[in-house]
Amino acid sequence: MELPTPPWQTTAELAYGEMWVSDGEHLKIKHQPTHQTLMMLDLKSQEAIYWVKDANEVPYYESSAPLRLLLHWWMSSQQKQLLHAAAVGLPNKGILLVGKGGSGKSNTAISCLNSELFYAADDYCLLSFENEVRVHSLFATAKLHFEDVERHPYLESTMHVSSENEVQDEKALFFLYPKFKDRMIASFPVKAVFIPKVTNGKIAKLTPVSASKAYLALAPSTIFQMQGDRRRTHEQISTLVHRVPCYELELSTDAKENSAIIQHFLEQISR
Amino acid sequence: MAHIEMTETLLYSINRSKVVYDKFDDEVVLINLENGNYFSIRGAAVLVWDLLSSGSDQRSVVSILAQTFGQPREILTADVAEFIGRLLEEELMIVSDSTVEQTTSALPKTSAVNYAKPVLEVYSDMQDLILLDPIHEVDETGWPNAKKESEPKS
Repeated sequence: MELPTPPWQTTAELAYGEMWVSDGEHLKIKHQPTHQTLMMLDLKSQEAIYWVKDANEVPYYESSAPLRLLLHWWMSSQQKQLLHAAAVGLPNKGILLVGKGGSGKSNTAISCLNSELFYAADDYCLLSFENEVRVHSLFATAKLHFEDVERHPYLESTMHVSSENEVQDEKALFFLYPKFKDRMIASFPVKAVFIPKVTNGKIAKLTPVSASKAYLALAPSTIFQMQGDRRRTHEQISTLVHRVPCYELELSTDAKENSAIIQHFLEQISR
Repeated sequence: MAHIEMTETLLYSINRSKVVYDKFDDEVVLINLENGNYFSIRGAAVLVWDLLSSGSDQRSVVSILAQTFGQPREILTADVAEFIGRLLEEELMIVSDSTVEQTTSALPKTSAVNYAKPVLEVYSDMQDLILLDPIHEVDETGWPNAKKESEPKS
């Protein structure tokens, strides 16, 4: 099905030809001509539309985080915030892992699937502040750079194998359900924010850091990955890092050391 | 009478139409929501930021820095002028066209012990994610009629 002519003016030069439209209240639209997609959300009617020109050509990035932008817009209206963060923990307490690509947050979160910890997210999760600071899982997927796959042999049977017609993603995609359903968790209270740092050491180490460091590790990538109310995203992340302690996690080359130090940290917290 | 540059008496305000920021114990972090750059201000620069955003002009800032850190005014004047220039260049502050009344509230203080030239640390790694997105509004007749001369909203 072809799209009608868009109402916006086309005089502006745009990166990638993308357009983002908002009436400032209930209507949000994003058009991505390079991916032939259109996303629309009407908060008044509580309806969302994801249009793609060819159902066989849904962009590859939708597989790991389907409807992410629509969820971001809708959840924002529900006073919840999508974060570019990983999340692991125990049923009654957990931590967020924050940082840019290459910081080790995805590898660290994924390695917790092979530990006593539970996995909520490796890349995107949802934050709420209703009664406590809480994180919620959104996607039962994980992504790794291909060169990191062999470090996680327990994931092997969950790896998505691209068909010939599919555009090859730059990362390997894993569908964690149902194999890891007993290691995945829907939600837990957030007790700390960890900023992972890749080292060549064997010892994992936690060091308290200022909330500003956590803010800088989390806010820019969250704010700029998703169109929406950027000021509100900034406010939510500021609230988060002011409310929970923040640490730098120097990562061990041994993944089990990393999950162990996270588990030990959580077990030391009374509740 | 000492010659006072016109710029020394200008007032500045935070460019709230483009900037969000947060203050932590010893650091101010800022994000320019339009171009994706984000920034960190530390040490004596935090005091300069606090003074400028609470209505002090450059001359007043230099005086307070001189009292606080004991540095020569010539050095402080050059450093503060350069720092203000960077804030304006990055659109974090704008020249204020209003007169800010002096209040009797206490002036901002600093936890910095030693003076270091105020520096604006800039991070530009988010620019790849920035899409130029002039926000368009629909007019009163609704979709699909675009509002003419719409103003960008955040």
